[in-house]
Amino acid sequence: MTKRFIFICCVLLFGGSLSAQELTAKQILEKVTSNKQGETLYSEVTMTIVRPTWTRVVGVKNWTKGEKYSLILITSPAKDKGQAFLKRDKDLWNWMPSIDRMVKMSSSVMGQSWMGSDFTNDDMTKHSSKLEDYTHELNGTENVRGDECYKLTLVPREEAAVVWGKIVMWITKKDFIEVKSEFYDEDGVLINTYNGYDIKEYQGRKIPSRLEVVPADKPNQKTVLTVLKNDFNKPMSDDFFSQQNMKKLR
Amino acid sequence: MKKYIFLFCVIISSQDLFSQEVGKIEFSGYVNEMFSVFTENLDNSWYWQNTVHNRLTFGWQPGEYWRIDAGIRNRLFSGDFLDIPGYAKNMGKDNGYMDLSWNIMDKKNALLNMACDRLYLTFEKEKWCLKLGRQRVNWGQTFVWNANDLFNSYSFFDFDYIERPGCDAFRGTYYHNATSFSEVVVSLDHSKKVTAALLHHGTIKNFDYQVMTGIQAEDDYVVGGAFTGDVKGVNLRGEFAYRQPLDNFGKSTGIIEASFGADYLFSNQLMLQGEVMYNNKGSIFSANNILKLILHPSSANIMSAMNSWNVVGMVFYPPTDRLSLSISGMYMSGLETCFAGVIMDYSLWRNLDFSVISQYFTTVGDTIPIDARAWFGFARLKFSF
Repeated sequence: MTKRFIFICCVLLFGGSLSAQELTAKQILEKVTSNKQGETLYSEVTMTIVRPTWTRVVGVKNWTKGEKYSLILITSPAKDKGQAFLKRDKDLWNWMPSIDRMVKMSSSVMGQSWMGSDFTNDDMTKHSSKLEDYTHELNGTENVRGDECYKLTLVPREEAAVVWGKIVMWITKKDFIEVKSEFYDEDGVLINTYNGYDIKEYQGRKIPSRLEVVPADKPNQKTVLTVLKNDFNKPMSDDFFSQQNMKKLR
Repeated sequence: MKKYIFLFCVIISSQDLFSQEVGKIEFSGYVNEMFSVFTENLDNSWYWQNTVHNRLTFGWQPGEYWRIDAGIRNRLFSGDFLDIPGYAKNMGKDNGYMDLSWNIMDKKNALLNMACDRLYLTFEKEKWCLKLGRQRVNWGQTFVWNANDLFNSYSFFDFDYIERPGCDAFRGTYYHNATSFSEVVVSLDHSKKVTAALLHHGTIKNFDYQVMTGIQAEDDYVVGGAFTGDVKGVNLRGEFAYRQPLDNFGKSTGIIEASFGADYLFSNQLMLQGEVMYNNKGSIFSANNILKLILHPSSANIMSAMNSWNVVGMVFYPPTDRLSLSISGMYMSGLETCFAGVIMDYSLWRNLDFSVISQYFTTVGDTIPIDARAWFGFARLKFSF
């Protein structure tokens, strides 16, 4: 009885940290993905593209379901309003209401800038899956802006058609929040650095409400994504992510 | 029971995703100020025109399934072109069944035209979408020459009116699933001629495809298809149609129209695009065909005016975040004519853009009777709201 009691106490006291230490890189990433995306996510964000001589703001509504489905609607500026992007698995379409035309997008656009920002089409549509398209390695822990973080290195699988040659991520040990990531090209050159700031709680999930992407070779420019609304686990069927809805979104 | 409650919740919640827009009136548009110059044969005969162009679009969703859309285009012209006989009448002409184009002011030095190019009612419920009225029906898949595009009048040369005129039609669309649909469109033109066609659009692997058939303007029976997709990052697009005149249906041979295009976006944002078109029976060279091509560029005119092989190459590149450049060259073998175009777009402010456009047409080859050249230059300031 006593032994059993001691065992239970040990589990209660140390179980959490023991199991966390035993987490694999992939399990950590699964927790991050599940925390920030939920089953489904509807979000409203503003994207501020900062350049040395000017600033541009793009309004975005975004519906996602796991890593497979996403729908993005541009709400501003006026000349781009109404444009929509649909992703189903690896297929991507762009809807341009002014000319009543749906354009199928090729995989060559994935590494390209989305709407002139420092985010790529791949970042926005989650075309590639960090879980499925990469191998994952845990490289100990490091402190980022006062938080103890797991350091993960992601290398693309051979067969995966992805944008990056390597991704290094820093995930807080406490809440599994992605607070920093570095994106490298195939030659190992740093291209973009992502930082997550102003952690806020949305329906019990702690998530950065301000994301900044800074290109390595252009230090005086960046793109800031500010979260205005996050609505998790609203029921969305797979068929919600359809060409019909892409044309109907307002 | 739980299953039904869950399904009910899904349906209610899905509707909620859009319901906040019901009853709200949407309003948007732009104002352009464009100065253009034109010269024939690059001699001393220069002509100019100034156009103030205002576009207003409205959308209203009075109920969950109903929606009304309207688009109005106002243009104020001044300059040398007003001296061309019949110019005002031509600008006031409406090719649709409904005459919704009016010359509000027609003076020697100014012409104000107002045209309604969208006015349609939508009923959309579950997998059905029905539209009635003046609307744009764009069946094109390639970027320059669209053999499937029976209801639309896309023109490569008309950069200032990307919305293009609508057609007066009924359009019924049924969505089979998330990525495939079938639709029927029946339209009437100004001479009360019917164009009616069916289209099926779907996706196989990473390729979109479509097949269509119909009757155009009660003159031609058309059957065609198109595809678009990518192989190793290169976008491939193809479109073809076989057109058989209804007169002497069994005795005459038809027209084959086919276009194939490819484009690729490099990591430095440079985009290369090319397209080739073949038409086995297009009109041969005539000054009238050239004029049709330049002044009334509709899909049908363009496809029929360009006999034999035609090819276009384009380069897009943004040297800075605010500046984008587009250079294009086209050779039309049937018309023995070449085209060269340059477009420079500069973003002055959030909703304010400045563009400079150059378009040059020249005849080439020895078999045609005239040696003609034309150059158009445009400077445009555009404010979107």
